[in-house]
Amino acid sequence: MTSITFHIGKGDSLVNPSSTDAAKALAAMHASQARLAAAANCPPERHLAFAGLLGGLVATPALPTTWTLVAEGVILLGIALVVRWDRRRTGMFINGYRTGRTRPVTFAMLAAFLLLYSASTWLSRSLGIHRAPLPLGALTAAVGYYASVLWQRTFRREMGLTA
Amino acid sequence: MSVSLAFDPVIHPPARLQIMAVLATVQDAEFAMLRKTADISDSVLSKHLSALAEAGYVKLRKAAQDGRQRTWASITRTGRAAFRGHVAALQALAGVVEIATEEVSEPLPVRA
Repeated sequence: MTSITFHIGKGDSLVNPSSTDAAKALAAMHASQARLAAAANCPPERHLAFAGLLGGLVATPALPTTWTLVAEGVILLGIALVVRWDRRRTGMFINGYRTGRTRPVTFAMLAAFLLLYSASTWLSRSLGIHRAPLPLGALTAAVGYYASVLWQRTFRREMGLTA
Repeated sequence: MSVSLAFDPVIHPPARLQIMAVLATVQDAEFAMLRKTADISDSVLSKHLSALAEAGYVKLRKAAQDGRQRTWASITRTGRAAFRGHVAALQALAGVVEIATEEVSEPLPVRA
């Protein structure tokens, strides 16, 4: 059993945890993270809300420019409401951009969203295909739902739960 | 990213380590949720949160919800660095990660 003496002050006190103590502390820490992941579990309607907001943003160029801005404002308000809902439902908020194994999922989703939003705007505004944003919005909602579920699975695995 | 091994006596008590582990994962958390995940009583959590806040590792704020005042906690930048260093020290000690023998034979740096 490894033991290390840690000097914790100006030589006035010492803490001397053993390797067993350290392993126990880490196990208790992982247990609390697993409880956190279980408590943070999202219901299907939360994934749907997220998917709907993303899909809605990509579909907005189907509207005239003025209404696009109004619709985007409403969607941004929707995002704020989802954050509030998360806080009320779980008593916490987990940032999607947090460091960890979920970050690649977040950036892949963001890249897909930006690509689809750009395509939607280009098709509607530059090529005059005003209905093109609608199927792209539906596609984005599907991608958003999948990404939201994948993010949660990745988070649960990182916190030591089976997906 | 390099993390220095820095055993921290403020974080050392198991309940505080659990609280810090949760706060390092979330943006912020409400008192009742912390109590549930750390599996401790109200009074114990309150005491540990005060100690962590006093050390500058945790920021506490009150917010009204459903007509009641609720306490929300979030980790500070200093707290996050201290937590990472402490966990790295525990992992080294537990043999979860390997560090050079010379490093182990010397007292590890500590934030007091």
